[in-house]
Amino acid sequence: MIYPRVTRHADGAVSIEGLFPLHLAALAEVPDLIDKPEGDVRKRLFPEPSDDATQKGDWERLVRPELFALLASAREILLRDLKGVGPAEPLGGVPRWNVMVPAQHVNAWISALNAARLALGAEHGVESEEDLHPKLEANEEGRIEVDERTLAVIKIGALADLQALLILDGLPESERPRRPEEEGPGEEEDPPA
Amino acid sequence: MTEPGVLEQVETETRLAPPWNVVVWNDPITLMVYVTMVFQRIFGYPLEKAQALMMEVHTKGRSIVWTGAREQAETYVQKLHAAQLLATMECTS
Repeated sequence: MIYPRVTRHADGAVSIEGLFPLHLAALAEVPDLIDKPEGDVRKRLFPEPSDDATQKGDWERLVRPELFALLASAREILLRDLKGVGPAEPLGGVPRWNVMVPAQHVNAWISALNAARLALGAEHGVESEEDLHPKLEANEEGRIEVDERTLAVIKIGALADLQALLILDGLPESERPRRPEEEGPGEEEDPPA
Repeated sequence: MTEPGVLEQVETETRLAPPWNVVVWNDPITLMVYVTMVFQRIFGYPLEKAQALMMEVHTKGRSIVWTGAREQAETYVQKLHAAQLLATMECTS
């Protein structure tokens, strides 16, 4: 697959070029996915710090509001930057798009994409690595049916592409979690931790 | 009664607060490079240590990523939660 290209510029701003429809569609859903999370999504995005009841209460009262605010801020930043999405040169007839991420917004993007992937996983019961690799088989009519859960897994993958590119190509060299000699084309896709 | 010039000997016992572990748990969705990046940023670990801890999370399901005073452990768990990692703290005693 030809991935979109992420380039960090001299001023620290990051351009994401060549977003395919799948990437853009997944990106467009991020703000809604992480807006005022509830239920399983809330539990995953805001886990308990321990089994201790007192500490849980203190955490809810003293820490969670700040964590909510951080996520809301990341969401707002992403939402604002997505308004700047513009058309790019189509590839083989497939439309593509570009977007610029200001230097001070890159971390918010990485965080928002991570939260959206987790939200999709929590919402659709993705609990193991096997769940991330659904078996798609054609039925007797030769049709491959993609259900809601499989579609969610596909979006998790599309957002993983963008998140990994932002980390590996969008951060300053000193903050990238790999050595310079490990960089370059042809690297295997990053599996989940 | 204590004789003049002789100090009364009092035995005292000082108990240090037990250290706390900060534990990070595996989840199937969070990217390995992201976890490594978070460990580097929050704890200031060099790349090799951050990657080793990330791999322990990945292969063993959990890893003790830091041990020390309770207050600092709480701060680290808060930062790990801000990065959406599944982190807990547990007393070592």
